[in-house]
Amino acid sequence: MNTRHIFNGNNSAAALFAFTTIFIAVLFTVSCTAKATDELVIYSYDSFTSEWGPGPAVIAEFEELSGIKVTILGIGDAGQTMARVIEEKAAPKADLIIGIDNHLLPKALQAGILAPYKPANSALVPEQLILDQDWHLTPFDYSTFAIIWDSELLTNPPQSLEDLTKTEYKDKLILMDPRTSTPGLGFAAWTSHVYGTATADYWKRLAPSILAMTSGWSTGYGLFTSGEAPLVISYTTSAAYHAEYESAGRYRALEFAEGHPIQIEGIGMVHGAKNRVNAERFLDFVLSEGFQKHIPLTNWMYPINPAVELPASFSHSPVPANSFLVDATKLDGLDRLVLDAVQSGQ
Amino acid sequence: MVKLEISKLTKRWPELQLSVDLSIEKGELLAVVGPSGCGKSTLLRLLAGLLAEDSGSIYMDGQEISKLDAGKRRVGMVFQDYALFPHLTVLRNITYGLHGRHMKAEERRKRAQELLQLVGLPDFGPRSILTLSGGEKQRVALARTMAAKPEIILFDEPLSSLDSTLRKRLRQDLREEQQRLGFTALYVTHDLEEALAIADRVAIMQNGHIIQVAEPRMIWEQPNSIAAARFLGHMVLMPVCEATPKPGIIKLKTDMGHSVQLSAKQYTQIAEVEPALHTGHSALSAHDFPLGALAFERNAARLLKEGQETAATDCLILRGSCQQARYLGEYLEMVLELEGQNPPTITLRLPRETMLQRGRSYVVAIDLTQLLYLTA
Amino acid sequence: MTKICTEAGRKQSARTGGTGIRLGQGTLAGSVLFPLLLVFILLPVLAAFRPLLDGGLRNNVLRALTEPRFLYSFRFGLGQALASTACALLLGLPGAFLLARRRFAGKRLLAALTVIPFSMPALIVAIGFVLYYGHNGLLNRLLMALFNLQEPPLRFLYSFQGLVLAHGFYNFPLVMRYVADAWERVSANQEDAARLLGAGRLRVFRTVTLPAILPAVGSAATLVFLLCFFSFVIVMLFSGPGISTPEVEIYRAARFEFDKPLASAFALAETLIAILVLALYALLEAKTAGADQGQIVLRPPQPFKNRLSRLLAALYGLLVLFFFGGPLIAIIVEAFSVRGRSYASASLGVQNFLRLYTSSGFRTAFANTILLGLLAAFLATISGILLAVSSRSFKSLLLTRILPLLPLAISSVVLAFGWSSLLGSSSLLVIALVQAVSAYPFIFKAIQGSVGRNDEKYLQAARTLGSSRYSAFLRVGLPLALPAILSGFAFAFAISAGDANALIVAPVSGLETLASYLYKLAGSYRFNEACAAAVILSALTAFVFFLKDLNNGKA
Repeated sequence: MNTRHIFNGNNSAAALFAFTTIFIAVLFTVSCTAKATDELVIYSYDSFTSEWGPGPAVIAEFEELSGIKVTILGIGDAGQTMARVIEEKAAPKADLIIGIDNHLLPKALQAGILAPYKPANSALVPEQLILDQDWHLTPFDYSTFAIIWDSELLTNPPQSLEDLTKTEYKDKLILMDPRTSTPGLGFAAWTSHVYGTATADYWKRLAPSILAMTSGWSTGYGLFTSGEAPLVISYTTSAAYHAEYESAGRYRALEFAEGHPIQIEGIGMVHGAKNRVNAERFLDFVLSEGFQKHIPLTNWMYPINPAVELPASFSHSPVPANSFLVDATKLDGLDRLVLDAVQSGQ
Repeated sequence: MVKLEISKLTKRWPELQLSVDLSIEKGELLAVVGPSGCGKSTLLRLLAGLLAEDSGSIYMDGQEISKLDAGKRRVGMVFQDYALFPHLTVLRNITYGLHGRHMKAEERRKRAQELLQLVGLPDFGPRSILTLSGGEKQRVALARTMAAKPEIILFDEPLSSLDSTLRKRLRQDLREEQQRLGFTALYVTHDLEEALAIADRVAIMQNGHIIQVAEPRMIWEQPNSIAAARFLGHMVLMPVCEATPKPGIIKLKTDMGHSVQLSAKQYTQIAEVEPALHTGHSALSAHDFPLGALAFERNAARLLKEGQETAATDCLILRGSCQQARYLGEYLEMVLELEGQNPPTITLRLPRETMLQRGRSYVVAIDLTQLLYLTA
Repeated sequence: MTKICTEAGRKQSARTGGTGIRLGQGTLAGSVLFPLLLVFILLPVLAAFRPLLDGGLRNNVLRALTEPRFLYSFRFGLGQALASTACALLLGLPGAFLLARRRFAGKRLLAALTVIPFSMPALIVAIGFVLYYGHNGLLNRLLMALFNLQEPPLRFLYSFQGLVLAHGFYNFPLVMRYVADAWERVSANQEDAARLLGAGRLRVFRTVTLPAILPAVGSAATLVFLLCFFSFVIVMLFSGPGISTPEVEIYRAARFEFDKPLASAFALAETLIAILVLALYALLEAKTAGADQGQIVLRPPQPFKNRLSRLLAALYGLLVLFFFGGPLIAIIVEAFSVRGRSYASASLGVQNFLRLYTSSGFRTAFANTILLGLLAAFLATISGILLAVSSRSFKSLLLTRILPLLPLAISSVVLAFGWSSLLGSSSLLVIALVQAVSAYPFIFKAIQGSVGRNDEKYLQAARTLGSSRYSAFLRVGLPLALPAILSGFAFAFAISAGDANALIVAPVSGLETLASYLYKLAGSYRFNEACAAAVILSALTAFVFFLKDLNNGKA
């Protein structure tokens, strides 16, 4: 009797609740697909997984080769991806993480999220590009940071980091914030490697040249291609992209006298990975040509395997005569130093 | 003395053409009654200056006010929903209209307090509007309107959102207050009983026109047209097919074949109605009553016992069969189907102790003196 | 024995009648449902703050407080949010008036277009601003050509003013919409009554109209303030190199230093400030609102009264078009630009759109955006309505006005931690859920701001007729609040459509939406295509608002 009252009084509300509940239940059932027994879960930065990134091609190739079902998830940028893996440390969901680079490596090791594995074909990696002697991270591509120059907007490009501080480049340089962006941090590391204790002083002098310090590479580079400023921090290989799709020669990577820092990106096995064997198979695949051949035109980086032939457009990407690896353990507090200097130099 | 004169005021809407002539005496409460959509609210808005007229004039004490701004006309209005400002206290609501009159705050407060006293809510000053009952709201709205000392107060169906018991009590209160304080008022309502109960004079409005203005008794007993009688609803109307005027009398023949002779006073009212005002509704009435109608009040009919027919002289005699008999407390309602071809039915009100049988034939009589001849 | 009891019970219920039971049911549902929903919505918030306990709460908070930059960042963060809100109000209020009170050709279309920025990812808005106001932007190039200048004359973009302007552009439609909905519902009789009592136009506005729209203005201002306070991309781009806001500091702690406890501690401080803002507003609202107006006589939009008012409206329209339509047009131009070997060889064409159209990824992203947007807006609407209605069973300001808005007051970075620690496997529905939690406050506020307690009388009337609180609301309150709810729904759709964060929080293999697709385009050097995708995304959102307005027009 009482129950009948409840439904009498609440007819439409009850109907609404019922509808919503069923709707959601159905969706849950639909979305929970059966899990393959032979699988591999990879976390990666977004652009790796995008339609134009290496993700689709290399995953398809690996799946065909191994019969393993790969789930690849793009989780923001490399920093966010790593933060997620740290977050899940107690119960890892990912088997592999793509995108930890030489700058992030010390933090990853400190957090203990990586398990070492030396791929069978590890000899393919040139000695100077090995990220870690214990192989916590398998390098898969690299490039060098460089200032890209829009030759149509600026006739006289700078030749060095020091040149950038000249008054003729006032408001001509777009950078990214080292707190939120990998190239941003890369540039800060570059200056720190070159100037050492005089880094703060350099940034004070550099400040007037900086038009904006964007939160991410996309915004900064978008500003640059909009013609807002003729100089931007990016990779030497950016020039190759423009040569491939737009115009060779307009956007050029500048080679600086002080040398260029190298960024090496790696793939690491997550500590406590559920599908360890599959993850190892993938790491063996990474260095092979099947993976490496996709890197240049999709990730716009150099493949780690020197045997892979580079496309013609990469001839517009200069290989700096002088390049170096930054000591990543010294990066802590660098962003603060740099930003304080910029603010006092404004 | 005429307080407010409305002369050839017109406003044209797609669905309604308003055209009004009306004058309101000082100290009078004139009720405008009519079905919803007849233009009552439009009339009030035109008078208040909230709406611009197409043509015509409004005079207050002989001065034209139609060109003045709403705030300068000295016309007050009590809205249907009272339109009290919910975020102000009762007192601040009342002092609202006293601003900008070179009054000190203390003076304003005193005046508001007096008004609260007048409407019988002396302690309500600090109260929030949200805590008031419907009746209290009405009185606060009245006090607020009066605070600005308007020459006339317009009431826009102020009781229509209340329940019927409260409505009856409040209309009594309102009438008493109006008489005690002596303000002039134009009161709009769709409720006929309310209009009759509250007003010095009643104006019936239909399709944008005032069709009759008179004291309540006059309106009720001597509607001036078929339209008025139809609105009042208390009369039986029988189509007339032949009207022969003679000196002092008129001879009428109804569609049903009844012939009567009425004295002049039973139809002179008609002449007073301006012909121009008929245009709005003549179509409807002309169709049903090309030559006008013979009318009598529903309770004017007497039920005749068998054999009494011959005794009834100077009467209109109607025969028919009883279709329905409804006991309605104060009276018995009888639906009578008249004899003849394509017979019409009429609804009569008989004394409640009358006993009727459905389907039986009855004869009713109406004194000739109770008859009216109405034309469109 | 049992039988007797049942008999007695039956008699009891017969005597008290169904109404008693139903009313009990209503309050019961309120007191159960409300906390339940609240807990569900606060779950990610609570999870987000859990890392605070790692290494001791006191220690973490102390670490945050002793960070000098963090305290400094609040001054700037609050300052820019305040100025941005003022700018959005200044721009939005005249528009709200025109939408609610004036009749003119093309109004609905215009109204739909103004919401475009709302669905645009911040990245595109930033680029649009740069393309228009930038040193090499449309405006500067025009001025330089006109006056034969060597240097760009407008150099305010990379400054506080540029930031405030960009935020104003981004958010004024929210003010316009929210306030217009309330303005339409201002009692015409109250305004007329004031006029008859001798008040001039200004006084009528100040004493009658303004108090009636103030809750909506406050609602919109609070939302805009929070959105600006938590804004990130635009702040960093325009406000000068190395600027600090609390959000940037949280990002640094979370993503650069991988110090979750510190990020959570920062977020806690940030959230406390946001709560303070919400509380201030709730107090203000409690003082101003609460009108029991019964049946409101609405004033239909009027044509312009004289030349001056038409001129002013046209001026406003031009201002909006020039200052705020400009960046939009710049994005559209960019979307149709095909890059050539040089500036000179760049041309206009539909190639960017064609390339998008032929990409299967784009088409699924388009479909996903619609599906996800509708789903998220639906979930947000349901929870917004249920929360708003059942919150009436409670009097507590904190419980009914502040806690439900908490998801708005948490850094998205930290909220992401919360979600990722809660969620198992992800799916379209999970993403919709995540988006709904961020979007429902818009509906919640819209209902609270526009309906408030005004219609309590009707609800009570309906309840005395035997309806429970919820069915009374469904039958009576819902139709009354419909314009506001539809507004909220449309905003929720826009938020979902423009959001790429949820996919980062709860990634699904291969699932793309227009927003995430657009970010990937921009991350792959394809900026023109990204602008084209943004144009499509905006057109989609504008269409939803257009439908909403069409429906309102009928009602």
